[in-house]
Amino acid sequence: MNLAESYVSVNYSLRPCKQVERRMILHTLQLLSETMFPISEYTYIGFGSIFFYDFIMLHKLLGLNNLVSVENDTSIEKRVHYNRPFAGIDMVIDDYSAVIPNISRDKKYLIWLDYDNRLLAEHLQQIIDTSFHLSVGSILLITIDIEPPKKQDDQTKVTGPADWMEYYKEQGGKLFNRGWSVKDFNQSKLIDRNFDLVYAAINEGLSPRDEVDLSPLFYIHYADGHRMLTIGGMVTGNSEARKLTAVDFSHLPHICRDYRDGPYPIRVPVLTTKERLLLDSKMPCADDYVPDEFEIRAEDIRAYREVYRYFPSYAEILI
Amino acid sequence: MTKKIDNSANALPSKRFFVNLITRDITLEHSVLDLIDNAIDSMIRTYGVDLKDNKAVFRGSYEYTDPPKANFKATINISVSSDEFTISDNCGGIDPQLAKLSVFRFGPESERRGATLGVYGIGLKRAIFKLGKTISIESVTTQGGFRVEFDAVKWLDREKKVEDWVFPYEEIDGVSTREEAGTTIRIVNLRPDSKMRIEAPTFINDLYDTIARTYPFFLNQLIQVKLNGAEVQSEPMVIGTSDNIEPAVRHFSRDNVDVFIAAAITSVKPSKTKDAGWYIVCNGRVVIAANKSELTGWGRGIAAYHQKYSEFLGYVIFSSEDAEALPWTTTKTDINEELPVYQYTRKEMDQVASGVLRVLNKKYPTNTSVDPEGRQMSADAQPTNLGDVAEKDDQPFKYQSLVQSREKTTTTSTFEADKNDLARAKKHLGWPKNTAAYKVVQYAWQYFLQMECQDK
Repeated sequence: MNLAESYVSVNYSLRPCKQVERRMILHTLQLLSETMFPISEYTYIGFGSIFFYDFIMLHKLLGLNNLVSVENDTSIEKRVHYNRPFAGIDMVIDDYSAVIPNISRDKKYLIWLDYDNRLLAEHLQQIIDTSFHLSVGSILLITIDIEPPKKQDDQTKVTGPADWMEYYKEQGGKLFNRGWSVKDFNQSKLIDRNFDLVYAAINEGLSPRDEVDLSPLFYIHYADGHRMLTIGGMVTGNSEARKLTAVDFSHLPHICRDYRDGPYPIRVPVLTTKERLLLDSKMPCADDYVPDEFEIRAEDIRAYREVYRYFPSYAEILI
Repeated sequence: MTKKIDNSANALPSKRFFVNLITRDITLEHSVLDLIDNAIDSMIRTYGVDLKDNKAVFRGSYEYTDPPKANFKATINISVSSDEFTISDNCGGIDPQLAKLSVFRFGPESERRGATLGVYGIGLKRAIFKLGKTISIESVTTQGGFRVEFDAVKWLDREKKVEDWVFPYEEIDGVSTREEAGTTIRIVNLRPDSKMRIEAPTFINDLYDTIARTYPFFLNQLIQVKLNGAEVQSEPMVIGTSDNIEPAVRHFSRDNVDVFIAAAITSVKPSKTKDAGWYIVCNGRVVIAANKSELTGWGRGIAAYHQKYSEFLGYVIFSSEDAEALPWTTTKTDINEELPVYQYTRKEMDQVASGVLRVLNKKYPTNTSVDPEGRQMSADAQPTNLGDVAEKDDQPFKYQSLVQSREKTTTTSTFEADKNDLARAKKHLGWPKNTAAYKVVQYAWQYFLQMECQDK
């Protein structure tokens, strides 16, 4: 492990960046629940898989009681049930598309479509349908893998922008902007293209509804291995939009109130416990601060400063 | 004092009635196509484009009796957003006198003029009332220019007098060359239903696809269309032919309409059902694309469409100097089946199609789930321009299969051989006891042929 590359994660299955993201989102929801949005009464729909991290946090730390976990892999039905942390979680072993028609406009939801893989046409359709059904006040988050797509038939073949454009054209269908060309699909532009498609899907679902919009809240980018992107916001009518503008998000730098500002990057540097304790004692530090006690780049310190409040600690417990 | 008797009953038409009538059954996308048609017609009129020769249209080499300057590029710029719709072209403009007298009438202009796309005289009115409330039309030609600007809501409210059936008109300066002449239509305060459709992200992409699908014979040849800055690109209209594939061709005329039918297979590999079927073109505009329904004879004069026909490709090209004689509906997005010329043509289409379907049926003799892509006829087919196909005389579809079936020259026969006989034979030959029986028999056969059956 090359410590100069601070973004190599210690253990991929622990996914520290993702955990930081979860905690940032939770912090945001806590703030919202303190300011006129009854988040604890929302119904949470997520893809819990066998770990259910988000479910545990939302139930314990925010008091959400209506929880639905969707798992489309019928071959692990017993396993997901076995790992369910609370009996209060409704398990749905089916494709998420089956759940969408049951989303009621009379309830408010927090829905996290944590797709965790590359954008597919069916994901975009699910985003359109979900947006159409969500009541105002509801919060929608979408997480996708934005690594360049590999060629279907030959996973080892090196591909380039022309192939990537073909992939997104095929998956994007009518949402794919006819004005795009290969130069819009350089690797550096894939974040924007993925955002554009997801955002278009949300607006496609909202557009038939009068005076309903998506107010931005989250636009986060990180890599625990694969580069990932999370896009999120609240479905708002005029009054929710006004309430949201009144909230003071100034001490939450990860909040996005305008997607044009670009995504917020989460970078989790590799640090030992001893190093962390020292750095924590200096937080929040000056921009150019570096400790004398050990070698570390100033930019890594700055990265740490952004996330130190949300930094996960991993401990091994002998049970 | 005698009472003044009013000997008349008000028969003034209701503006709202007309506007509702013409805007109701057309989609927003097709209203936009009507405006594109007008610009194309303007090009045709201004530069004397000869559409009578269909082959020129197919080859994309337009003949002008009064051609524009060498580097002139006819462009239609369309700009759509939830606040504003603008279409602006440099295709020759609308003659201001004509504008004053007839362009804004609810109905066709009295003079018929060449093979045109603007048929019923309502395209412009329909589009502007469908789109929005604040309307501005400006056109400049070498013979002067005009501007018409009005608020649709206020205009619709004023209908008490005959004098209310006008649009406010002002003259503006013309331009010195035809290449600078053109028309700009700008609409703001979009109507709520149009605005809602435009706000959906898929609208623009749908509109792009519709334009690309409708004008393959014109785009990038006669005119260029830009939609929110993106140039609309069309797929060329081609059909598959090769040394061993000859398309079916049929030419005829009826009721003042020239008809050209061509059918063969696609050159696209692998063939896709969504692209298969009949394409119907009227005066260069694609009205029906990839049709597999009863409209074009499937399940009626010919077999119902089946996936094994996914290589079928047929074109029906209707052209006429009298656009009203063509079998399209008032929205130009569908076919008026009632028209005798279409009834007749459909029968011809059936004949032409059956030739191709017969060959496709032979290729896939049983309706099984065998993946047709494994046996594509189109493997040999090269994309051929419809213009070249149109040169051919009437002929049926011909397909020469390249796969030679090999004549089998051997036969298998079996019989029961006595084991003792076999053992004796092996001993006689000095072969091991476990030698396979067939080897013995084979030897015996060859021996017989050689020793007793010599006459070759």
